[in-house]
Formats: sequence, structure tokens, C-alpha cells
Amino acid sequence: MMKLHLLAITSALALAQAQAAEPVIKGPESVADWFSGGQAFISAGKALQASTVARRAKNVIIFVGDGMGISTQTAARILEGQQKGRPGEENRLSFETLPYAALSKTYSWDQQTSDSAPTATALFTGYKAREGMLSVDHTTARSECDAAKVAARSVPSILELAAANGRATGVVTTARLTHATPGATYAHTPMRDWEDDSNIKIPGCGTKDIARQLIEVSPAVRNSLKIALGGGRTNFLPKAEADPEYPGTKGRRNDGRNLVGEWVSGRGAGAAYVWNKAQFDAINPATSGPVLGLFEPSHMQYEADRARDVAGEPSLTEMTEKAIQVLQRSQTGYFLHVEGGRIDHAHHAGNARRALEDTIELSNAVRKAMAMTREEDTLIIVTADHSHTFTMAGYPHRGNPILGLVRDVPDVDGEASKLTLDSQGLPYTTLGYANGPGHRGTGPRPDLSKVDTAALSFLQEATVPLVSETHGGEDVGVWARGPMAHLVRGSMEQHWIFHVMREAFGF
Amino acid sequence: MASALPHSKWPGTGCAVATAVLLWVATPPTWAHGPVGARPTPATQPEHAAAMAPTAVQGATHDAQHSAQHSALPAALPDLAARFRVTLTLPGRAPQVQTWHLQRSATLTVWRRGSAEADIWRRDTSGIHLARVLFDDRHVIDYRAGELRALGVDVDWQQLGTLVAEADLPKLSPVAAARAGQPGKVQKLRGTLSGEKVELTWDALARLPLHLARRSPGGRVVFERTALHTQAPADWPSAEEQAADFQRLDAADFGDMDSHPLVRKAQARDERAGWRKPHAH
Repeated sequence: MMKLHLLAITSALALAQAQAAEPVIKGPESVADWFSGGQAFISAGKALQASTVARRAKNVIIFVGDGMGISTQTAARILEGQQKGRPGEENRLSFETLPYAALSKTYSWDQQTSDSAPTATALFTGYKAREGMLSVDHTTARSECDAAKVAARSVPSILELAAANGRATGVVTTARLTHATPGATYAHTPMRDWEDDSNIKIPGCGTKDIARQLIEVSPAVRNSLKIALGGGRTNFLPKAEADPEYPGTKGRRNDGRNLVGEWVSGRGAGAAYVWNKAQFDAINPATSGPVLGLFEPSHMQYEADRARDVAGEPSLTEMTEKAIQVLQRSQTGYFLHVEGGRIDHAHHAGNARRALEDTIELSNAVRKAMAMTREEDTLIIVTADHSHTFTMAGYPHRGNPILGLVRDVPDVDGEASKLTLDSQGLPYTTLGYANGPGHRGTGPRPDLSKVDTAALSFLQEATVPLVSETHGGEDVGVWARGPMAHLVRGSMEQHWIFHVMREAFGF
Repeated sequence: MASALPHSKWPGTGCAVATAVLLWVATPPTWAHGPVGARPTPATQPEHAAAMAPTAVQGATHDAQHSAQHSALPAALPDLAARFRVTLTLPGRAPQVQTWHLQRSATLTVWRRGSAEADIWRRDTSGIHLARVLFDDRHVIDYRAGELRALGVDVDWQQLGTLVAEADLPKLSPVAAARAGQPGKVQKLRGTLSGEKVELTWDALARLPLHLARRSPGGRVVFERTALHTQAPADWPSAEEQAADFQRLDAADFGDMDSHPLVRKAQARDERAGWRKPHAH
């Protein structure tokens, strides 16, 4: 009887196995791959215990993906993997391989969901600031025009501290150099929009505009700042001066000053200014003086559009490489801030693909920095300043194009995947926004079945109609390697990242 | 249902009426902001196409379309400067008249619409850029080519400078009386384009209307060309010169400037024009 029962069970199992076809949708890995990957992770973790991360850092590099929330990071990871011909989910962006990670709380002094000014202030100064304010404390009045009061309320940035302690410094961004995130490293202002003097509408205002502050930095920063690359040329040029790349565009400065010229004349021998790719390529990092690169009148191109640029402009990776090459000449070490500044802008436009392409480029820049530096002496931190309302939804099958419509795992093995339909019988994309210009109105949803949702300029659907998509208030990721990287852990206040960098430097 | 208006239907449709409506109607009808999916064609909903014409801009497109836009341009339009008397008649309202100026060259198209606004369009290898001058607000909004693409805005450079898409001319019928007039130089045409009744006197040499009337349920707009020059006369107002001291904003920054009154105004205008909205393609 027992034998018969076992036989029945065995037969049933065999029958079930015979009937089960190979699933159509599956990952490329084997069970052994999963196990070995897990073991490798454990081994790497044990090795960290014995590593030298507790020593001081000679160099600190902090990358900020502006608006690079967790969902952006995840989607970019998948897109990059799919661009390599793989399913994508198993892929890892460069910074996802860093050994330490944490979550960063991004609220500011007066904002539950922050803009980029107080978040940059938190990252670079250790202070939670007010909306729209750069590297001044929370007691600063909005539109404060008393220079003495602004000075009294200014809080030193990690760049300024590094400069005061003899390190070389650099700033790289794809946004304007005067934009909030890079601006917080060297400028102190109650108004992030005061990027040039034409933005300051208060007569007799004593607070300097941000571009001017880059030129009129403290003697220590003046000596230390070896390279500053980004966009925002017009903020440095007088109104009468035509832009070299777009002659129809003029400078914006009312004071008549040519800050580009002042950089070249005031930064010592070999100081250089470049505004196009050829000039950038011609910089010899082994011999160059301080370099100011301003590659666009406003923000630099989205990575997806960069190849179209009239005069050509370097990628974020190329700028990062050049900056590190220049800064590595410093025997005492350096501080470098690199920003992927346009992730945020593409999200505001509701245009996920451009945001993801710029995120992938940030990952490329981090990879370059990892290759050019030694874990023993260089702390690398990668984080975002804030998130966006970007979402990944549905139950798409493994390897489903991340920019495509949701197709789920078939109910029956062997069948092709089908479009997943909403309650109105319409397909939907994996990626979307909680708000923004992608709102399709209050009627029935659009039928996207014949729409190329992977097109570069496709705008993902959004739930709440807003002309510009907004930031998101949830935590963002922080990744780190190198000296004191182990201090990046758990749930962190955003401004604690400043303390990690300062601790790593040892001042 | 259609998710949005097909891209191919946009150029030259309802634009003239729509633009005029936008310019003269401070508060567009509420249905102008209706659901995209339920939106009627531009011919019956001119407000949606507002500000498209004569700019003829709209709709996200594929990369391939962008490339085609720049690589397969029709023969270059002749450089010129023109002045139009533009009359808008809305149902139940008295006709309103403005003077518009056009400046057109291979890389620059400027439309100055009355005294309130001007659009300065520039073309280079990176694409088409717009500087929108708001005279009353003393501001200029810069829309770089990449930003226009990211906002889902595609630009038909040729139509920027012609008011009517030349590709639409064969869809109109010649008016018998004009056939014996100046064949090949001036054509009188009539018909329907995207639901709008169109009467056109087309100057084939200038490749620009002498007279254009478009009528839809939303209103009637008439363009009467009152001057034509190879270059803008010195006494014509220069939008660029007048805006030299204006405050400039980059449309890429709008996402962080929601509280700025002018940003809200500019964004609302973009939205009425069908920008910052998805389009099927």
C-alpha cells in the first residue's frame, strides 16, 4: 500500500514536470550564479572589515545626481543593462557596486520636499537651510541684501574647508556653474536665482551675484580652485558681449564686467578659459593653470542631445576625467564635486528617457573616477539631492523594455507575454509620474498600443496635471567607497554627508 | 479613442485663428484646457493650437522625425521682412486688429505680434531655439533646442516663416477668377484645411500669403500683408534690441520656479499652446 502511494506521488510529480514547459520569460542566470553571487557579496563584505577605510582621505569626490531618486536609479540601471542587450534588472550602475550605502533624508529647514538649494547646502555645509538659499544658515532673511548680514550667516562649505586646509578643489556640472548645487560649494546667497547681477532687482543690493562670487572667492579658494567646468556662460559675460557659440545670444551682466576675462587675468600663470570641445581637449592637465570651462550660455546639453551641439561639448565623464587629472597634480590632495545636473530638468519636463540617459552618464563618470583613483586614499560619495515623482509600476516581466508598455509574465508557460491592461482595457507604461505635464486629461486614458513610448521625447503619463513635474520628498540613496566610507550607513540626515567628508579629510 | 492629435495633422491647422485667439483673449474658454484625449481636432478647437501659428510648433516626435526635420528641409525660403494687418473676429465680439511683423532668413525667423510679444526663432546644427519676448513683463524666456524636444515640442522651420504649410497648398482649389491673373506668381486658393475654411492669396515668389483668411467655429482671422521688403526697414521695431535689457529666464529652470509669477504665466501659455503636453506620434 505504501509502495503504491509513493509510486502515485512519484508519477504525479513526473507528469507535472512533463507538462511544465520552460517559462518563456526568464533571467539569464542559473541558480549557481545566484549562490556564487551571494557568496561573493559576503566575501567582499568580510574583506571590508580588514580594509583601510578608517584612515584619512587624501582626496574626496562627491557626485550628485540632481533629482536622481531611487526609482530613477533603478530604471537607469535596467535601461543601461538593456542597452547592452541584457534583460537589465541584473545590471548594476557603477556606483551601485560601491561597498557602503545609506538612505538620505532630504527635507530642509522649511521644506518637506526640498528644492536643490537647501539640499546642496546640507550636503556641502552640514546645515539645513531654507528654500532657495545657498550656504547660509536658516536665520538668513529671504532676499537679504545686507552683505554683512549674509557674511555673518554664511556657513563654510566642504570646498572652502578643503581649500583652507591646503587641498586643491574643483567643480564640475552639466548645469550652469552658478546653479544651485554647484553654486553652494563656493557661493553664499539668500537667493539661488541671483546667478548674475541682472537677476538682482533690488536697487543697491549689497549681496554679490553667484557668478561674481565664483570670481571673488576667498584667497584660499582662489588658490585652490583649479578647475570649474559646466554651463552658464552668459552669467559671466557683459550684456554687450555676444556669445561665441550662439552670436544671437548676449551676456547678461549689467555691471559690464567680463568675469571670464577676470578669471584668466586673475588666476595666475596659465589660467585658461575654454568654451568648446576642441579647446577642452587641448587642455594639457599636466601643465594647465586654473581652468574655467563654460560650454553653453545656460545649462549644457542633455546627454541625449550632446552630439548635436554646435561647437561640441565634453561629456560629464570627460569633464570628470579632466578634472581629476588636473587635481591629481596636488600633492596635498583635492576635493571635487561633480553634478549630473540635467536629470532633474528632464524629469521636470516629464521626459523619462532623457533623465535616464543622463543618469547613465553620471554612472559613467563615477566609473571613470573609480578607475582613476585608489580606494585607499580617495573617498568617493555618490548621492542625489532630492527625488522626483517618478514611478515604476505594474508587473512587467523580466527583461520587459523599461521604457515600454507593461507586459506581464504569461499565465501559461510557453505563451507569449501580452500587454497588461488597465480597468479600461488600455495598456500602460512601466514608467510614469505622480504629477507633471504627462497628464492626459480627465477622460479615458490614451491608447498607447501604437505609440513608441521609448522615443526620446515621449512624455510619460502623469496622474496630477502640472505644467512642470515636481520634486519628490522621499529619501534618496547614498553610496560610498574609500576612507571613512563606512560612516555612510543606515538612515542618514542629508547634512550628515558633509560630516562624513569632513571626517574623512580630518579637519 | 485617440490619445492625442496625430502629429501629421498639426502643421498648418487652425493655427492662425488659434494664435489670434490666444493673443486677444486673456482668458481662453475653459474647454481649451479640456482633456487631451477628448480634444476635438484643431479646426474645431483653435484654442488648443493657440500660439502654434504662425509658429507651427507642437507635438513630441521621434528622433527620426527630428533628424528628418533638419536634414530634409525644402528649398530655402527667400529672406524677407513683411508686415501684416491681422484681424480677429470672435463670435459675439467686435473685431480686433493688430500689426504683426515677420523677419525671415535661413537661420532666423522673428514674429512680432502687436506690441505684447515676439518670438525669435533661431536655427543651427543643434536644432531650433526660441527666445520668447514678453514686452509688458520685460522678460525673455529662452527655450533651447534640447529643452523644446524634452517638452514635447517639435518645430517645423519652414512653416514658421510661411503662415501656411506649403504642403497644404495642393489641398486647396484655385479660384477661377485668379487663373488668368498672374499664373505662377500669385494664386488665389480656397478650401478647407483641417476643418477650417481657408481663403488664401498665395505669393509664390515670396512664398508667403498676400491674404489669408481662416474661419472656424472659434472665430475668424484675416492676415493682410501690407508691406514686403527684402530686409526689415530701419524704422521697424526690433524685438531683439528692445529686449536687450530684459530679464532672461531659461525654460529648463521652470520646474524649480513654480512660485515665480511670470513662470506661472509662461507655463500656462505653453500649456495652452499644447506644449508641455504629450502627443501621440
